[in-house]
Amino acid sequence: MASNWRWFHQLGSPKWFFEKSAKWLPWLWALFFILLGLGLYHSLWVSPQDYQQGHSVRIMYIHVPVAALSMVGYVAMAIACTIGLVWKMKMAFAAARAIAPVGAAMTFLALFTGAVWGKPTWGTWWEWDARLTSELLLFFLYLGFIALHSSFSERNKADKAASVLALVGVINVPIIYFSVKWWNTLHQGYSLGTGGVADEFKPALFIMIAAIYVLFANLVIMRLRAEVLLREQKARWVADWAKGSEKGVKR
Amino acid sequence: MNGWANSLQEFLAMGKHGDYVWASYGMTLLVFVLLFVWFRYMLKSLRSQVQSRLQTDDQEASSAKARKLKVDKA
Amino acid sequence: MLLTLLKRELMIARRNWIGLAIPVFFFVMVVSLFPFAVSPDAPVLQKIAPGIIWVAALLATLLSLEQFYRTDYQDGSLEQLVIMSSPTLVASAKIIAHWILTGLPLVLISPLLGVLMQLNYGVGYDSVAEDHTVVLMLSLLLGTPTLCLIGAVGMSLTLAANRNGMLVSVLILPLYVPILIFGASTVTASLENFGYNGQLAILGALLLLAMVFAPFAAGRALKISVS
Repeated sequence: MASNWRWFHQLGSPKWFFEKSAKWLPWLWALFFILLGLGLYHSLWVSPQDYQQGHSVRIMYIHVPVAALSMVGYVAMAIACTIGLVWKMKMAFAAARAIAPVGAAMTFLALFTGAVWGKPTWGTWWEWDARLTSELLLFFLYLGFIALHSSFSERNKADKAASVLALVGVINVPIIYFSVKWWNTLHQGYSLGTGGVADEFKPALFIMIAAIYVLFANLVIMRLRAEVLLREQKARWVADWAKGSEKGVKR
Repeated sequence: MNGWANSLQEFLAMGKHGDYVWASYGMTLLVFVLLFVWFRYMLKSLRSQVQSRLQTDDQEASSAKARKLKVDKA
Repeated sequence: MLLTLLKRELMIARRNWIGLAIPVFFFVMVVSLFPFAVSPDAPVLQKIAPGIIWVAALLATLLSLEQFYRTDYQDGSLEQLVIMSSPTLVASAKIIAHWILTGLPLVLISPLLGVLMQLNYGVGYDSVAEDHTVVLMLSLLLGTPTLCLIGAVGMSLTLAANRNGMLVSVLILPLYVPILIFGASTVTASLENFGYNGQLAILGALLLLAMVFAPFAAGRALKISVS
């Protein structure tokens, strides 16, 4: 029974994570590039154009994955914050801090690709469409988290305060989404790609979603490694690691 | 599987929508490359910070040792 | 205990009544800028009135948050209060007092703004039943407490932060969006002679939800900030 939870305690150890993640990353990047190659081949070359939208439908293969990850990222951040607050696990706070910039980047890309997709589809860069508007507010929530976290001189306070904000935010995300949706139907807006995705677009879309998921994980792990180093710079193992890697570098 | 385009021009133009499609893919690439470079730089600069701190610590330790020896002699 | 804390807040506020009047002045002034900027035509003003008044109320609440904890935090009495009772109780008392002192005045002054923004343009002077001002007041009555509750969380979070004023706005403005949507659309629905009970019900639901979660979140944040 106890051994079932060992991975959890190990993840809580910065040293264990730092050492293991160095081994995981090359494999994860390899996996990402395989998925990316396949995904780009399908999304740009194999998949047909849409009979209405033409080739601009290919933007969907970027837009949908990054939009999905922007929301998954926020929920993941809130879960990490809960673990940090409830079990006082420092690694969880570090993870939340690491997810924030990557999630914000995903949200920005969802907005950007949504706008660029909107131009040929709606004839305008911006439409107050329910999903784009929610993404915009999600972007503000990410920026708020990062801004609050960087406004404290004590890291302990920054972690906890930003976590409370993330939890308040995660309660609000569905409320924001549904109120914006309600408001949107009131004003008879348009929406992108409603009514499901046709079968011929599915392979490219699913491979790209998988690729972006792996990319998200990779970037978060990279950011988390930096965050762990920042937080543990006084630790003995960091000094050993810095000395060890110095030997590797020829001068 | 055969693709849809017969020539490179046709592929790049994507009907009338080439600009939009390539702008989306290009911006996505740019953002992710920037994140990658940024995080890598963070790790590297933190490592060199730790290394330089270790060096100054070593120097201080050895000079303190030297001072102590002098005091002992006196 | 809550009553004692509340009494204390109101006692202190008596000495600072000008500070409390400023958000109300601000509310009136911001709204009165719009006829200059857009058009003094009654139909135009009436059409934009719900949105303008609601945005102004939201900004006035935001402005008033500045006073939420400031003096108590600076002179150290906030820390004493948190130690003596619980942070959630302190935050709750602050929220209630803050709404009575700044939210309620906004609700009470809003009929004046309704007049300035020609809210009742085209309504006969004897038909009280169609008075849109009442709807405006109702929507503000249900909406401003939620604004205070969410604002309290923001203030508690940024209390110990290095930058305070603009930061809290950035944090809580996205959270204010649902209240803005339903608040303004209550009044708009009334202007267009549609039913507005649904919107009021949702404003009430949001208020209840905020009443359940916000005091605890604010208390938790307060504890983090003063410890």
